Amino acid sequence: MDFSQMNAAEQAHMSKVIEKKQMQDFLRMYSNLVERCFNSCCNDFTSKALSSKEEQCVMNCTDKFLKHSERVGARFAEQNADAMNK
Amino acid sequence: MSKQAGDSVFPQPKSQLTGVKAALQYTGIPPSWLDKRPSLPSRNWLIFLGVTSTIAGYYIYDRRKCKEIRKEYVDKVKNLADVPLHSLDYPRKVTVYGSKWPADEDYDRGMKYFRKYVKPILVAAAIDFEMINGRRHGDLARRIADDIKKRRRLELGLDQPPIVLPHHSPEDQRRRELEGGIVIVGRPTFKEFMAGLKRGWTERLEIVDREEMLSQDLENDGKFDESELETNVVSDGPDLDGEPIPTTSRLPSSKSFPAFTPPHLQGPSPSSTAKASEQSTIPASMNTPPARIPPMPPVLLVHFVDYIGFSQIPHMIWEFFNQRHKAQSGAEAAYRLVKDVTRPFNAPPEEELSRLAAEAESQGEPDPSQPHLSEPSLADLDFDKDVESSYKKSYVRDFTDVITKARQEYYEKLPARLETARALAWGTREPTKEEANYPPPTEVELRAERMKKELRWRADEEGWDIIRPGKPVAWDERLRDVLKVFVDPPSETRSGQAKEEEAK
Repeated sequence: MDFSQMNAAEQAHMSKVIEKKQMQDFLRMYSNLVERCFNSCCNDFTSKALSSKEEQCVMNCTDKFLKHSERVGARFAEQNADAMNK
Repeated sequence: MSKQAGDSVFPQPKSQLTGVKAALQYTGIPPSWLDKRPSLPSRNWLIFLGVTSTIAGYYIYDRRKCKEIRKEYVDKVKNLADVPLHSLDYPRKVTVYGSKWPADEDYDRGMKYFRKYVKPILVAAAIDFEMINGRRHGDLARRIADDIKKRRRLELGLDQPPIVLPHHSPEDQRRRELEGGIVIVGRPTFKEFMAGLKRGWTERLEIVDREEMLSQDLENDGKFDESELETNVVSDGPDLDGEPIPTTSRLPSSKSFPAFTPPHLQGPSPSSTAKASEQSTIPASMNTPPARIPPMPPVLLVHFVDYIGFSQIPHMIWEFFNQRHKAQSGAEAAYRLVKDVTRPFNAPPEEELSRLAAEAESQGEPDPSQPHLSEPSLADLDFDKDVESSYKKSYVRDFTDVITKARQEYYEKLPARLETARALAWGTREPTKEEANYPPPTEVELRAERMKKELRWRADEEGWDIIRPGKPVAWDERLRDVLKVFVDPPSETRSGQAKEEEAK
């Protein structure tokens, strides 16, 4: 994405497209997260309510998922930087 | 009902049977079996079974012990892996150096030792590692020297710093490097490591393209000159003093990298002109070797022997059945690295070192089969010294001779090939039938081939000069305060054998 070669209208358009893509990615990540955490934490459907154990599990799951995605992003950026430097 | 001939008869055992056997006689087992006494197999069978079960049993015992040792050390360190780490943080990282063992075509043996015996414990402790191996003798030294020079250039601002990520500042990187470590497997690697260090911190900082330097060297050589055949034959084979070209650029032998060539000998290529301008822009103040070396991560010296050669076969067999000793020493080394207890490097005082270095250089090639028992011990520089007596004798004796002979032969055959190439290129004669089917190499190809060969020969000679048994380990006084060695953690040593452990 080089913004130096586009005029104002194209830049606006490109930034809208990018924003839409980012929103989509974010929502996709959210739905992934919900699915993973539900599948791994809630296995007991004898009751409708979320027990405290499941509550704790869900909290840990979201935390770990976000930290994991952060770390993967950092490693990926590193690899990209290495590839560009080489 | 009388028994007719041909009726089947229930087989009766000879004696009356009791107990289980009484029931078994109806199962269809031949009754003679039920009467037999248990007995040992024959003498020959006993010998066979005895021998095979001894060998198999010892093998199985040894491998089980290996697994137990590994498990024991893994259990000691695995709680380190459960320590939480911030998502943008990095685990501890060590660099592992390995090199080619003399006479072994497989350059990876040191690394294989590391992967099999040291790595499992590092993996269990969640320590990251980077493996750097040298394919031929001297490769590792060159690489280490290059890395150090790159770093020096970066710090002096001669090079662009690479793209810096927000969480990844160079100070952080240095800090993490110091917390990590360096693993050196085997004495040849140790020698190459020290030689690389010394070179990296002593040499000049210009970027030298080795192939460029070599090509300029070889141009002066006159081997490809279009002079009479006689003069070519007269000139010496392997020396660089080929034809008496009146130049002032008689470049010295490949011990040091000559940085300057007179302008009239430089080709018109842009890279060499860039080099020429670069050589003049690095001021002398930056180019001199620094007085102090910045701190270095501690070093783990891992004892390793690669048995190669016909006379070493008994050792190989012993090792095959006794791998638990290797597993034990590898695991102990890894444990030392994990526990991170260090002590300064033990090098003997300066006068002794310079005296020994002078002695070693003047003697040339002493008998490599005798370890230098008469010399005073050089403490840490003597790491694994007895290993050198197990190098293949013929390899040690003949290494330089093989290269010299190959050079001679090549330069003897070269003029003839050159003649054919030129004759065919200029059209002075028609190609014969074989030459038409299998065209001989052209002059360009011959030059390229010669370049390749010279590159390899020189690299090998340099590398061998670092590793050979007679040569002492390279040492630089600036390293005295900077090098550290991992030792056994104090609470774990059995009867305080820390000094002995690290010497192995």
